[in-house]
Amino acid sequence: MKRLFLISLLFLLSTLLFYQGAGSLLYPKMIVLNSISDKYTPVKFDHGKHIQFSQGCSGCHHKHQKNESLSCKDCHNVTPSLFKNSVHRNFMACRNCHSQFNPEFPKMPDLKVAYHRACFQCHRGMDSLGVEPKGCTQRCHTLKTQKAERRSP
Amino acid sequence: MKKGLSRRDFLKLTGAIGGALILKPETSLAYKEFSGWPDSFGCLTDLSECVGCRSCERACNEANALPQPSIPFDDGSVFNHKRRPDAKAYTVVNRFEDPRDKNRFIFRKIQCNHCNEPACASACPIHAYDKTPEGPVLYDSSKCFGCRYCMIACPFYVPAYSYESALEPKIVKCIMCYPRIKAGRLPACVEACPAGAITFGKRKDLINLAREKIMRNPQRYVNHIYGEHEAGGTSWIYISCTI
Repeated sequence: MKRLFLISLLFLLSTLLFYQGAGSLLYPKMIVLNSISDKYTPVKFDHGKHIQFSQGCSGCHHKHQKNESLSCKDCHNVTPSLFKNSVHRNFMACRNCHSQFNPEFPKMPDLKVAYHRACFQCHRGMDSLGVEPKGCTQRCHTLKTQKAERRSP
Repeated sequence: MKKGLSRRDFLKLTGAIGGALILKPETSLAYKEFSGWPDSFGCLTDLSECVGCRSCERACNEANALPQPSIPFDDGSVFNHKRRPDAKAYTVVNRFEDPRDKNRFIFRKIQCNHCNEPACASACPIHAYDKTPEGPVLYDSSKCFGCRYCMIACPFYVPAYSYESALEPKIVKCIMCYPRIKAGRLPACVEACPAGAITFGKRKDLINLAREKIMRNPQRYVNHIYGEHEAGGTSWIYISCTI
């Protein structure tokens, strides 16, 4: 009985690892981007949906598969043995590089700009974004004061 | 030996000088040599990035404790007519139709460009203006006696007058958030811009950055850095998308 249990456990683990290798379970589906939420409410970002729209990760994860790319380990902080299986899980957060803007390095945008630029490259023109100021609040996030106003009659 | 200059020699000399002046037109380009303060700060506005959200206007309004505007910051109807900076808004964003595609727009933010050799300061009879080594052009209202020569002198029509104040009217304009810069922070509009359309840094770095952007993407940008040489060079420089 004990042996059967061990075998089934091993089987389960190996299937889990297989799926991880295939990558289907690894991507986060829904992400709430709230680390810099100050004036606006956090953005609910449907990562799963965007994977379907985008053609590969490099559309948003800008350093991916480009000549200007960093070495893999700069973003995927893993050992070579783990690399193949869990590379996506160990993805480094954008804010590790894009934290505060430093005028000494004007080419490096801060986190807010890095996020917005990634979105604007496709979303500009949708829902009057890039046409008038309301586009931002219609598509992604509302002003916190607006929300408070709406709540209080 | 004759003393002094003969009539013939005088004519020869003046003719030679006059001829040299006519034959050397490059002297008229001497304005390019105004370099301004070394290591002064500036801003680079990339008009191709701007999405017209007016976050910069809102941040400027809050940072300078200006009165609430008559049209709210999230109201797009403000773009229906062209605006210029006034006593209640030191920076404004105007919208222009993209001639290639009527559904796309180009936005342009304007404010004081903080010239290297400010015409407002040159015109001011009482030296109320000061070009600081950090870059911003500041105005001292305690010295001003209200002649408004600076408003006429400015090539960008920026200095505004607080006409509604009957007893103590003063000139108002963007000061590139000088107190914030001194404290090591960014100007309010730069900090607020979500699109990264405004970059703050040393002017010379920004010119290099602008050049690099144009070089990397010649299809996207007009091959010109506005403010590099205009009006003798300005601290606030611009690059724009091609039309």
